[in-house]
This record gives sequence, C-alpha cells and structure tokens, in this order.
Amino acid sequence: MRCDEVREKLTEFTEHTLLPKDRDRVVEHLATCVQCRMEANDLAKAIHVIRTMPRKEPVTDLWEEFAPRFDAIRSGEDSTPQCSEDFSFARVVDAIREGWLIFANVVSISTRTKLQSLTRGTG
Amino acid sequence: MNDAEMSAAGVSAASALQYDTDHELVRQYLAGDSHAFEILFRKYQSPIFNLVNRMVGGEDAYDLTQDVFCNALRAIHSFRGDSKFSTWLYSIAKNVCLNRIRTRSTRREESLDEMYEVVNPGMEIADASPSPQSIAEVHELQDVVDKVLETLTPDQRLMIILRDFEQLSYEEIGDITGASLPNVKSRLHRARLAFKNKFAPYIPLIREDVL
Repeated sequence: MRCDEVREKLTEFTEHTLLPKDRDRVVEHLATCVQCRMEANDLAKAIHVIRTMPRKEPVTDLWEEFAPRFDAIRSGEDSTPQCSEDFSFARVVDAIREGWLIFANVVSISTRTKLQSLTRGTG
Repeated sequence: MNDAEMSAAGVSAASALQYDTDHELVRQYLAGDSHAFEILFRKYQSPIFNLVNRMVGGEDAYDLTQDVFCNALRAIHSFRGDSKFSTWLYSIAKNVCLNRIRTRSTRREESLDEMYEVVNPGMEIADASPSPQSIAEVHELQDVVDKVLETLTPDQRLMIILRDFEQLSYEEIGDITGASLPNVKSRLHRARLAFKNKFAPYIPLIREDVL
C-alpha cells in the first residue's frame, strides 16, 4: 500500500471501522513507514482530544426561558417570522436576483422581436 | 418501521427504543399533549445547544437554540417519522447554524473590509489562532480546541461536531447532511485532517496524562 492510500484510510483505521483486510495492510505499512506512523499518531491524538472535550451546556433552564414563545407558537400568536432575519435577507436577495433575470429575459425577447420585425420590414 | 426493517437497517436495540420513544412523544404531542414536547425539548436541549454553540462559536447560541426548537415546533406536523426524531432535529439545527454563519460572514467581511481599508490600507488581517506559547502558559486546552474549530470551514466543523462530539453514526450524519455514506466518510476525514494540521503545534505541549 502506498503512503497516500494509507493516509486516506487513517480516519477509519483510528475508529476501527476498516475491513480486516484493509486494516492488516495499513498495519503492515505503518510498521515500516515512520512518516505515516507519525501522521496516524497525531490524528489519533487530535481525535482523542476532541472526544474528551466536555459538552457546552446552557447555564440556565432553557425550558423556562423559551416556554412563553413555544406557547405563542402553539396558540398561533407568535408574530416572529418562521425564518430568521438572515434567511429573510437571503430570500430578498434571491427575489431581486430572480426579478432581474425575468426583466433581462423580457428585454431580450422584446429586443429580438423588434429586430425581427425590422429585418422583415427592410427585407 | 417494523422490527425486521430496523434489523435490516442495522438499528441497535437501544437506538430502536429511543426511536420508538421519540416517535411516541411526537404522536402524543400531535394528539394534544403539550407536555410531550417539553420532554423532547429537555432530552435534546443539551446536544442541540452544544451543536449550535460550537458551530457559531458561542455567539448567539441561546437565540439560535430557541430558533431550532421553534422551527421544530412549527414543522412538527410535517415530521413524517421515517427518520429518527433526533436526526430531523439536528437537520433543523444544521440549517439554522449554516444560515447564521453565511449571513454573519457576509456582514463580517464587509465590516472588516471597511475597517482595514480605513486603519491599515493594503495590510493582511492577522491570524487570530492562539500561539503555541499561549497554550503552554494558560493550559486551556478547551479554549485552544474551540479556537482551532473556529478556523475550520462550517462543513468541517459540522462533521467533527456530529461525529466526535455527538458521536453520531455515519448513517445518521448522512441523513442530517443529505450525503452518501462514502461522502460522509470522505468529508469527515478531510475535516479531521484539517483539525489535526491546525492543532499539530499544540500536541507536544499537552501532557501525556491528558491524552
């Protein structure tokens, strides 16, 4: 197995999800290649560090905080738009872009029609 | 999904139990039991808050967590039940986060461009990642991990959060991101390599007993 092939499989190797046949070939390569062994070690350490990080936990009881808005949604009184402000902004941009395309198409068709009628007139 | 289908899909007994419980709670909520939603909320508030917080770097995490559950509440009638409730909820959280990051990065680029044009015309923006010296001094591994995560692309961050923080299966990540299994594996591998490369300077500084 070449170094680049081994490195492509290091994530699965680290997670012990490789097929036995592939795992044996990776082990065989790592036994003789210092660079790939270092790469595998560093990757395993990095993954281990991430996995030992504690969860980010909210510091307050979110249910108490959010329940009034949930109640408003259930009763149909929530006036907040379903999509956040950012999504609305994206939709406005999309709408403008779409409008511009339609306008450009209309102008294009209209110009073509005029040119065709002019051509017919001169012909 | 019946037992045979679950078995064929490789769903474990514990996972199947959770699957049934969540679906039952959704069913109860739709039948008029509002307490069922509170149970679902309390069950998933922590993983969703964690996902949101790490995706957006802590900024606006509370508001966005609220948005995730509000969107879920509004759309719960359309929850078809052909996937796990948790997967469905993570998908909503993913969309809320990516949407915020997209807009924030646009605004930030604009404001940074303006600022640097005024203060330092023509100069590069300094790298905000911590130096190896700083981790040696403060030993704040968690801060370093957070900062390195922030330097990854949103997709890379998402893959690492779903797999390594939330420990979801490749199949669940595929459902959440709409990607095929090989694509999930490939993206996760790229994400971990990116993290490892940026984290590499700090590895020798971490005590062996931490690892």
